[in-house]
Amino acid sequence: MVQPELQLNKQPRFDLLRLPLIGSLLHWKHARTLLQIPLFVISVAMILHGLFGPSLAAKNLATTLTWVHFRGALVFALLFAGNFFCLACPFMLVRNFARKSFHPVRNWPRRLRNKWLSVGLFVGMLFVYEWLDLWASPWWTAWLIVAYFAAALLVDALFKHAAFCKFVCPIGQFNFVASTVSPLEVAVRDHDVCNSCQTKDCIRGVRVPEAPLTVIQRGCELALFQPRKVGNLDCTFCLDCVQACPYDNVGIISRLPAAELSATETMRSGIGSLLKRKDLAALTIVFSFGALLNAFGMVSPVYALQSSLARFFGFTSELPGLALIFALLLVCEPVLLIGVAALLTRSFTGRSQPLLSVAVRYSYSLAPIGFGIWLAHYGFHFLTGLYTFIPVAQSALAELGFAITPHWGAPGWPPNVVQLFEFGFITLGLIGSLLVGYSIAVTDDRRRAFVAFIPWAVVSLIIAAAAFWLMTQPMEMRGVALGG
Amino acid sequence: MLRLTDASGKAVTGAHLKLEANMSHPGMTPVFADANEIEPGRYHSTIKLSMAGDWVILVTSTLPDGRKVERQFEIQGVEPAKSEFHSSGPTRTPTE
Repeated sequence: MVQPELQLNKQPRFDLLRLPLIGSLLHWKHARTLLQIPLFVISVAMILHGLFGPSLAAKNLATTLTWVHFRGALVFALLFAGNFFCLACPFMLVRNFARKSFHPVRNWPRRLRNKWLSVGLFVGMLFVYEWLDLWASPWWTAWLIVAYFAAALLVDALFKHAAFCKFVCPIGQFNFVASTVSPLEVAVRDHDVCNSCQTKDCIRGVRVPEAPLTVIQRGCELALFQPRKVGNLDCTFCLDCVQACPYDNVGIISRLPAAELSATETMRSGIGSLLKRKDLAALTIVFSFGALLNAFGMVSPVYALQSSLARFFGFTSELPGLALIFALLLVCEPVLLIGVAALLTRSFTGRSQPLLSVAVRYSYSLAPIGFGIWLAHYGFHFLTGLYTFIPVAQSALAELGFAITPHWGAPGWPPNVVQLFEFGFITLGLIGSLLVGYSIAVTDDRRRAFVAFIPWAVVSLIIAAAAFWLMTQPMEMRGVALGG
Repeated sequence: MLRLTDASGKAVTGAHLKLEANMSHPGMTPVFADANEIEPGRYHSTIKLSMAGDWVILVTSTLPDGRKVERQFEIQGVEPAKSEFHSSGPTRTPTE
């Protein structure tokens, strides 16, 4: 069996599942359900409060928990651990429960077995967020959560396996790309054990010996065969493989963050070679430039730009101006920067590779800087508004008749302190992108690695400079969307 | 400056007005202020809006007979203070 090159290191590694208590808990058959139930209860509370509670975003659980706490906790979990939010996903709790009643027989359409649909949905989410001022609307936020539940149920009611997670969910795609820089991955402990395994339960599932079509424990629903799985792409940390492996040979193991991004030529189970995945490269590009765009939507210059565009083109509503900004920042800017970088790399190395191949290969180096910007942005809201869920929850309880007075103290950490963390996150992301970019260049052409790397280093530096500029702009939280 | 009248347009005096300003984005603490009656039915308050952007002001009036009346209005596009550096530094906007 061919072993993925990133998993050949046999030095002792940290394994979360070997820890006392946490390891035992995560090994438990119902661990995922246990983690999903609290998030499901919170989701229901958010939906109800969003639909029937106060229309002010700052006083509503739907908006406060979604746009301040969920997003912040998500990126910090990805930074310090891995894709644990997909593990605890409340949408999958409802879907798993419903799957006890219905058993889909259709496969996800072959033409859609890629990331193009989810790239479109991801861009759509970013656009709708700005257009409808979702952060300011508890009502729309509640409906967004309902829509996620409904979409997960519908897709996985019609199609087998984890079609929603792998091909549809925009949050999942965000998590997949972001978790490439996480320090933990679900991985095989000892490949020799897998080499002698006859049953392959980690992918096939545990079946009743007398009735081989009856699965009593699922294998990986995202088509990731553990011995050939590389990194975190497409892994929801559902731990089905951990439960299914008869040799207890799957762990949550430490690794070098972002190293998987430079293994562009490695064949990955369920994914193939990154070099052949234009859709994954596009997702990485949208992830990275979308981070800039999403942060740009919160600072003063965006409103000046919108006004200028409206005056110049005679727009009378926000929609066309916003669409133009999205086209400029999410299409024109990446095409220009990545196109020129690919052209220069090809020219410097003197090789006759197709330009698109060069662009796809090196695009993965942008994931760390993209994640650094998301971390800076979401981390800012999370840390500066860290304690606000307390008075908002107190208000919600007071509305229900409890004798509680909301206590509005300090909302969180001081913004000037958090800003230092923002700079740190962006710097870390930049360093990560430079290292991955150079590593890709070495893999591509060891002799001319440095010159091949230079254009991509400049792209990362430009993105980082834009992020630093954004983070020093006066924040201007626009959008008053009261009720629905 | 706030003007408080009854249904017939007659000034309401002796009320206690409290202002609560919230940002449109969650994760921010509201800003509170009281309003003083400077002439019959006219109340004055200065409120320090801590960040640029859109604000929603909730005015709670406690009338002399104990009844409470709430009104809400928006202040859109509060501009950043000149010295503002990423959300720190106040911006003053009088309420009318």
